[in-house]
Amino acid sequence: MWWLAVWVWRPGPEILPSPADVAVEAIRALRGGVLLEATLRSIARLLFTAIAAIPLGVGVALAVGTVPAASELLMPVLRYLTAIPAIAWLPVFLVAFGFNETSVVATAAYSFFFPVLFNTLVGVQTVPRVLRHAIRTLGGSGYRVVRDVLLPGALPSIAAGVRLGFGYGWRALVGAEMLVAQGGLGYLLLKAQSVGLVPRMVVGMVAIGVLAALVDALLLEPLEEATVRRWGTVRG
Amino acid sequence: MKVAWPVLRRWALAAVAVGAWAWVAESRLLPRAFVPSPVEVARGFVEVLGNGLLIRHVKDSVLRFAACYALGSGAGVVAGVLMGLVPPLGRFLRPLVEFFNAIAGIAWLPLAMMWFGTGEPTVAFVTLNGIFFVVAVNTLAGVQAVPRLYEYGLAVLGARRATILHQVTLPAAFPAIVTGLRLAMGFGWRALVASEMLAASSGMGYLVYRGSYDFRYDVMWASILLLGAISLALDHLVLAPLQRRTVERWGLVQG
Repeated sequence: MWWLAVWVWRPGPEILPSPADVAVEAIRALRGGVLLEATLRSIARLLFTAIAAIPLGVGVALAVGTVPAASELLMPVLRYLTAIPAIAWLPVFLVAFGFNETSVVATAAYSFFFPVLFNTLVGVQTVPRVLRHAIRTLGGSGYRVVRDVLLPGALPSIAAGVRLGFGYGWRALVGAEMLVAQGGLGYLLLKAQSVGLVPRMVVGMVAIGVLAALVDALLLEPLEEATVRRWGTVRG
Repeated sequence: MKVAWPVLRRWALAAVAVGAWAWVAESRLLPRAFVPSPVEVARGFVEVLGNGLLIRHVKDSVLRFAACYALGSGAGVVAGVLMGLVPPLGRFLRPLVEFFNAIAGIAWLPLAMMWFGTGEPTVAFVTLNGIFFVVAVNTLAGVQAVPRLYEYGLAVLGARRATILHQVTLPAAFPAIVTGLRLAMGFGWRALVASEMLAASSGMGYLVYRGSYDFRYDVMWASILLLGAISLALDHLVLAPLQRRTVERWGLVQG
């Protein structure tokens, strides 16, 4: 379809390159190591983002979900903070952390954190209270309640939150890379744009899409399915 | 008096938050210029409000978003339903739509800047993109998940295609469509703000970015806080009614 459009419409390579141009450019970018370097850079950032955002999101959700006072106090603040797009924080992160990895990862982690938090919270809150009380009555500690009841019970929701958070985090990551200009796929796109290298831009976009699709299809969707199947819950 | 407690507590909380912020600003833990005090931010807010700057940028962003959301989600639903109604077409196109959904939004920005230069069309293109594909994917998935049996059931009873669509397919796919619309709200608004930062000369994203460039950190903070308020307002205006209608009609609870 793409080929057909190029063939019929003949827009010229600076508007829409043909698939052949893009394939040639992909090979060139791969050979030169540019594409691989940018991709690895983005993946590393994504990994750091996930490592920062998931435990934090789950942890805060457990705290907020189990302590009613904390939930009452923090929920309005958290709701307000979610509403602010992460990319708007980037200038703040830039002055706080400088033009470096930390700012990029912080922006992505901000986007990643909230879906994890809110989904985990729903999970924690929908675990029947009886189960919590049962453990307490049997003399289980608060730690046992979290480990044996809340975390397993909330797992399907956590998986759903991680999947959603990845969608937001990945987009924020690409956007932040464009603005911070310290390597990565977003930067690759913007740099290609500044020199008018459209085939390379398309290569970068395809890489972004393929990577996101792969992570979602191979990692997140099976994870979600597995948790849902294991605990026999159906996501709302 | 009991009723007033939550309200009171909420205001007390807001006061504590502002107090903590003021303390951080005054304590100079962070460079003073980067973390202006609440008073300075309020003053910056009043200044841009007074000279009409703020209203213009808010208006630009909100109008852009409203147009893109209406157009993008409308087209997304229609495209998703059409693809879903012709099963071979839906099966064929679904991976394609999913792929485009994965790159939707900000990744298109450089290419869009190539095509349209910086300005309105670029922002609109990126935002529309971010909205359309997520709605289309979810609608398509919803329509595909409707058990064919129900449709056949009605068909056997002599219902016309339009009736089946209206009575069976759409209601059954509705939860998925709503999920798409909700996601589109988040993705679209974020894509809009991001592209305004990189490729526009007006709008809230531009205001934030400009504030940081001009070392007007008070204005920047004021715009960031306002962004949150606008997002919440959009949520309330668009999603809450939608949700209420669906929850009421179909007894669904969305996580």
